[in-house]
Amino acid sequence: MPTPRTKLCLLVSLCCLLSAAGCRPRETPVELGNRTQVLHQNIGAEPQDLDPPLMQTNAHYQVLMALYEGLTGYDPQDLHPVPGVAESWDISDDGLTYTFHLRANARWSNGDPVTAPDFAFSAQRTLTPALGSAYTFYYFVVRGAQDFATGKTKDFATVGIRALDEHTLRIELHQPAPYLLFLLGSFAWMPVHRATVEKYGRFDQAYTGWTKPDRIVTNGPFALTDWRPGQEITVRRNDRYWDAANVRLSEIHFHLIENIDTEERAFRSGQLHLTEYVPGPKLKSYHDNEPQLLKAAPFFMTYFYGFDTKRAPFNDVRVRQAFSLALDRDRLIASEPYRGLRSARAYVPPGVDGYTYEGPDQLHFDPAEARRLLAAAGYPDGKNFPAVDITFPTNGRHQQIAEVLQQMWQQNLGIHLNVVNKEGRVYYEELGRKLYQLARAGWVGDYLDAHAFLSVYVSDGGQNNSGWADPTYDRLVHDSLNERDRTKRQAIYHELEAIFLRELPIIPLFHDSSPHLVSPAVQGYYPNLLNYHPYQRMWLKHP
Amino acid sequence: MRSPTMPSTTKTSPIAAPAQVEAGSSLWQDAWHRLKKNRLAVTGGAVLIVLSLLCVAGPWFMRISYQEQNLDLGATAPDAEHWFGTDTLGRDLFVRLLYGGRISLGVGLSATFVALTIGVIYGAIAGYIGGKIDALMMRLVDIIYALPFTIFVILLMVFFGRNIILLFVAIGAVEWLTMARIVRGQIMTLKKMEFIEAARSLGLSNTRIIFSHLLPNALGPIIVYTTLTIPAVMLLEAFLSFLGLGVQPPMSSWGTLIKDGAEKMEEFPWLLIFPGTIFSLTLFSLNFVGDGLRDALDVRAAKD
Amino acid sequence: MLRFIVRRLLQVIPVLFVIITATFFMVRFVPGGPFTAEKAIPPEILKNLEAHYGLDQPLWRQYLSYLGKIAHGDLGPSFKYSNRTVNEIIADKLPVSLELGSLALLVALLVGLPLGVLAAVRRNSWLDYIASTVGMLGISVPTFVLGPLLVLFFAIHLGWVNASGWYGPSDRVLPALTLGFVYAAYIMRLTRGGMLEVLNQDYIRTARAKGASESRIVLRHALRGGLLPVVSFLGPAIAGILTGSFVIETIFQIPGLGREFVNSAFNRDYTLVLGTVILYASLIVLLNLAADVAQVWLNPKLKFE
Repeated sequence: MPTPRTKLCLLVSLCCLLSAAGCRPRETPVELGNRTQVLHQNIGAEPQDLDPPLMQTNAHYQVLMALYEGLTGYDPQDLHPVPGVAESWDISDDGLTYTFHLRANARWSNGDPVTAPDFAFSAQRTLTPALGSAYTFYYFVVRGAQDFATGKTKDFATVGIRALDEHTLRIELHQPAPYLLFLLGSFAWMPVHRATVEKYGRFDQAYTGWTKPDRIVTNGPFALTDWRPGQEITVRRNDRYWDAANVRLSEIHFHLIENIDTEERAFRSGQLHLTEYVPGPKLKSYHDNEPQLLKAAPFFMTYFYGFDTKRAPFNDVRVRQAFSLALDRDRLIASEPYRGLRSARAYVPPGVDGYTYEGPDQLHFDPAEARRLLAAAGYPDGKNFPAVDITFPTNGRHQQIAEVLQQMWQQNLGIHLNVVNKEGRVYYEELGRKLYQLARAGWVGDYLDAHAFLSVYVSDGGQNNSGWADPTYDRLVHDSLNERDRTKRQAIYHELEAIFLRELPIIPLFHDSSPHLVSPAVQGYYPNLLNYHPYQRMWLKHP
Repeated sequence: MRSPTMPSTTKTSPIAAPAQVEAGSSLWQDAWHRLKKNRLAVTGGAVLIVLSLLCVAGPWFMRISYQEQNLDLGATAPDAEHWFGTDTLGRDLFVRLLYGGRISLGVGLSATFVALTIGVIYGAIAGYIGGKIDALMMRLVDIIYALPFTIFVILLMVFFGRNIILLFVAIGAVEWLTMARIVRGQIMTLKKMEFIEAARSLGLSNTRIIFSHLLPNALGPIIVYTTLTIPAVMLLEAFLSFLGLGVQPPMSSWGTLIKDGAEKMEEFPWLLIFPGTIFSLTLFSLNFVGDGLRDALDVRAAKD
Repeated sequence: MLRFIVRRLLQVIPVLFVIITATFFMVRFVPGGPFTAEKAIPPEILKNLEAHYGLDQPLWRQYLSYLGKIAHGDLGPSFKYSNRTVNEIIADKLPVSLELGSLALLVALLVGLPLGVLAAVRRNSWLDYIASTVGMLGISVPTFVLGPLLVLFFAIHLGWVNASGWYGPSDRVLPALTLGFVYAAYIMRLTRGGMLEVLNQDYIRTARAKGASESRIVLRHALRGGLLPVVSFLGPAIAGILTGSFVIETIFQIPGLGREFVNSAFNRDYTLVLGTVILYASLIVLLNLAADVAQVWLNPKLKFE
């Protein structure tokens, strides 16, 4: 048995060894990246695939934006559509026909030219029901697209997308869509390389593995080099990209760290330039100590609680209004300081394409009026109110918000509700099958137009879980698109919002933000409403 | 083990030891006397009793409720008003810890007791009978080990709704397995010992041999593993509340408080330090009591 | 002994069959499916997706075709990672978990066993108290607290290692220590308990009375009996440690299998759930067999029955 003295010696030498190893100044991946233009960004959970129409969550959009380019792209600051593969376009006077002129020098990563037939093929593939894309609705403004996507016709010639020649694409709409140019930049409209897709399976077959690193061919500013499951996806500058001369990053490493605390620690230890999120408690310390690293941009999102409006007690609009009036939204968002939340004054987040709801404020805090309405509905001081569960998918943040709401309803209406968390998919299943009473939900607009929010609650909307239906509302949503004048269209949005806030199929709580930690070396990165960050002009400043 | 070193007839015949178990009160009285002399065990026991009393009765004397929020206050460090500080919603951590203790101590102790009972009896039977029955019983244990726990818990809730009994079923379903394996291993060895052969030749019933002669001699590992199971159960409870079973907000348990505190430990260290300390204190006390109990019940050592 | 092992290996087949069958139907009865999401998928698309994976077939037929596939070693395509098969995922991630698990096991045994033996032999001495305190700390400090603490100190404060990821050898240190520490604590407590039980047995007293040296008594006689509870514990524990730990892999961002065990259930990735369960079940059965063999080996009085 070693004597205490030898043990002590061992211990001391071990410590020396460790500190000797540790004292060497280590260059962090971020520092190395700054020298070599290698960006380290975390995107959270692993993408299902890199096949654009089969995308699942927004974070994966970042990888697709590096790999592909649609007809249009986005300005990194305010996301207005800019030329992408299409150099220019003509719009007919009735707003129904768009003609796109594609760049002659647009190339796939294998050198093939990017052509109008490529886009027509990709559209057909996305819309073919067998592929199973969840984003076909991005095409539904196109004439015939919905019928084709839902299998009513198998003839793609009936769809208003046609390649007139190698470099000219015509898109015909059945109704004007002021946001079409925006949609064209999105993943659902990104082109795929026909020969590659067909090499590994039928064109309308999903998940054939054509997106594996050694197979995939893309047309964006970067090309896939490696995909290490559970670790990172690596892309390298695509030298065949038409604008490669202006792309400054040499590589992007998309890290796949799911846990937000792990992500923050990785950022702090110099492994990441950009995080996907910031943990709630960390917001304050960054805000106080290193505000330059914290970017909490407003997000095109409304966080709300939804009712099942078909069943008592929430089938009574007075009860819904009472529940809304009993909430002090400003105090609620104060429970999440430094996150940059905005109390909801309307359903649609303010300031998008110049639209902000300015009608009567229905979402203010008025406990006396709330109690009056509740009494009128037959529940004076909350008496006889049935047992109601507030449900939400398990998550620390949702739980904290539910707890605050529970207390506000308890104090201001005298109603005690049970706070019930459910495992994610159990929760979404129950939401879809309307097996809930009062449940947490949220909506992120797919395109920068109030229509992206207002159209959700049409009677037959696939995401309308409230059971609420209003024919006037449906008609106005439909009419709003036919109105090509922006001011007049926004007047219709005002009307829609007024109906919505009177009827309250849901209770809007606040508009979310998307907080990120951003290394000061990152240039050309702009916080924006949809959290889209094109990489064409991003670069790293070596300090 | 090695039989040559073991004299077949010694004055302290092996059968004498378990025989005292049957002497009933005298053994327990002896054990109690020995336990009382063990200062660590007594301290541990006292801490446990004080903690339990605090958790059960404490909340009645508090002016603040566990769910009363103070959003203007937010998370504040300990002070005279809030002894353990407040959480991010301005709720008093001390009160939440007391309430959480009710859940954690209650669930921890009773679910462990359930797992202990099942595991010990199951393991003892398998180990004692041996052969095909043992093989069958242990393969069943293997099967239950391997079934996906998350899916099992969600299914339980689908079929039975959420209730407190399910919590015990879910925890009991997993925590008894290793106990059964440990007890089986001990019993298999012990049953080859000479005092058991002797007991058998005296014509004692199998039940009596198992409970009066075999298990008392396997108490050490059983007690040790029990003290290891309690913290595992308390933390498992936190995972179950993640799945929607177990404690529901705004109520807390030590497990959920520690989990919450771990996420905020850099900004609001008291949210981790206090729940963590209470949790550790409880486990240390439990282990001291367990060790003391083991020593006190170890009739052989007592003869030194 | 060979017959015993062969007979036990034959039992693996019915055991796996029961586990596969039970799991197959359990995952199907859980609410939500692989395509359930916050943003509901249009019904006509859902139908296509289900047809793509054969989920539109009657359940019994899906079950039979699944059995047919696994008989050929094909665990099917994953639902979540749709361009990879379950076989590929396991082949990718199991080696990582095996490596981390082996290192952690090494830590656990190297720390746990000696501490446990010392604590039992020097019972109620300061050495026992220190060893027991270390053991109890290991039990009362959960990995989700210990792991981040280690990262904060060694990765962020000192900057010696990466905070996350699985790149170089230095990335193995903190995860292996964190994971190993918990198991070390269990092993220490169980070894101490088992040893104490044995050290008072008559045959040890006899050996002592005969003048055998203390270290000989401990190593040759007591350790064998004293290790019994540890061996029983280690069977399932090693199976767990080698297939990866969800918490450790999450905290340190390690591309191991442990996260897939938990996430596949949350994602309702039916095939991946089954694949991981089959792997884990096989390991459990094999390691429990190994534990049983070790038990007989430690105790010559026992026979293989």
